[in-house]
Amino acid sequence: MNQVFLSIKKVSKTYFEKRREMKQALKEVSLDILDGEVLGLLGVNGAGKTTLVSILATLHPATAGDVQWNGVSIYQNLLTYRSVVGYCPQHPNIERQLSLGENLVFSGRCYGMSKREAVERQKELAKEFKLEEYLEANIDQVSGGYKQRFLIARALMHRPRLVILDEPTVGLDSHIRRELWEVMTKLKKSGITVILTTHYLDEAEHLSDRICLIHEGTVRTVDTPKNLKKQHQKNSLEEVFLKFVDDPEAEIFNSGAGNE
Amino acid sequence: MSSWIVFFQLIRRDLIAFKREFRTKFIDTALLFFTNVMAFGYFLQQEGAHEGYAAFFVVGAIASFGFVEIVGKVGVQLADMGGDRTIFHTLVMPITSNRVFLYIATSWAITSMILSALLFPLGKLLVFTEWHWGAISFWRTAVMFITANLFFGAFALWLTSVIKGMTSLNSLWLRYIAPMWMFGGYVYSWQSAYDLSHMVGYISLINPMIYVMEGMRAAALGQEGYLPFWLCLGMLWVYIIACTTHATRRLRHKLDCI
Repeated sequence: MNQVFLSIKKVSKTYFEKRREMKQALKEVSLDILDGEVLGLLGVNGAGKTTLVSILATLHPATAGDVQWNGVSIYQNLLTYRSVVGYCPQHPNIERQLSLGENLVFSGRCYGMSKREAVERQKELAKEFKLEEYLEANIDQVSGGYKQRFLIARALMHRPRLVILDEPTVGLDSHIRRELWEVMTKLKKSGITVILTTHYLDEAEHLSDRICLIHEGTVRTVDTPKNLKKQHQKNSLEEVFLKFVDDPEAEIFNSGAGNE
Repeated sequence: MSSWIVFFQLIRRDLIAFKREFRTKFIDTALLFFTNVMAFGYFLQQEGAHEGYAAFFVVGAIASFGFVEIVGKVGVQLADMGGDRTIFHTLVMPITSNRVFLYIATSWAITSMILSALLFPLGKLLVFTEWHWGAISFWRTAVMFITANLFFGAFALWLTSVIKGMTSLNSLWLRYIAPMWMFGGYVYSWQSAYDLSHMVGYISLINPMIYVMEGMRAAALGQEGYLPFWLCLGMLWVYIIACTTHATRRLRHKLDCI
């Protein structure tokens, strides 16, 4: 668990509109993501969580800074890096003209799997995520919880080494959230590196090995949930979180790896 | 892993989706084609259009009907960019963004080719006696047909890159597509425009649709009376490269992708 999988170095992201700077979403974020860990990115809406993961998924470029994988910039080896990353976005962006099963197979085939391999993997994931009876269904025919299960399964089709889950449980009722927690716990046990963005504190605490607290585009602290509570002398992660949100200038004791 | 594998898989995926809606699309296209050919090709001859006008019209219609199918895709793509964002799933796959945009244009061109190709036998049936086999250069017709559809794909990609959103889509047909089509030699030849006014003829040369219509007619009806086949082919490739290059740059900016 100690080896660095991904190293984020002073990454900034500024959104422009008609060449005018509109918003600086990330401000020189530096962070190491360790191999096999579940890193919870925690923050309020608009904190910069989605922006950061979209950069790590190589959906959007960083305005400044670099992300290194195996000591080399991911932009130098973009396609190889992409083939080891699975990205589960916030919104279900699923091809409507294909069934959920076909979507899975095509996703696998786009990552170089043979048809046989892709079909086998589809069956394996369908069983694991309890999607078997929905494989022939269209996206519009399934509930929010199953859409999210499907999105996670799709992100896992090509057996990635890093999975990015962007608010996978947002808007879902507590029962379905708990079911998805089970799914994510299985991921954790399988040894895949997971980046999980959420604004649910219980979720972050339950699932993450370490928590990275982002507020107004900067990393405020990175540590295990247990250490965070201990260092800030709080009983719950919620209290630690509120401390940072209510007083963003609060002095931060940072024992997180690589947060420069 | 080569990103060409992703490219061809994406095209394959689109073709499977297209297969499912093919029947409806073909009926719609064939119906539009039939009504156009009957109205312009036959009834216009009753109003004094020259003999052979029906064949002239049919070839232009076959050449350009893929455009109708493709322009519809612009709306679908814009809706996706503003809604489901399935394109974002494609953009994180092991393929460069430039190749993703190239795949979109190619996939659109292929579907439009499939739909329009089926209009050839229908067109021949409708103007059986007027369109002579002897006048058709099959290889030239095939080359021009493929090029014309690739141009439609590239042009639609360019439209997707320059149109701001779904709200701007309403004016697309009325302000741009209809004039481009109607002044692109859909119902007349470039020579007629030139004879009417040299200035009108020269201005028409800016419109890429004129090269689609004239090139197809030169290939399927014989060179005489139309712009040179090679000029049309060359100019369409200039437009294909220009549209694709500019669209790629614009879309990378619009979608903020790597």
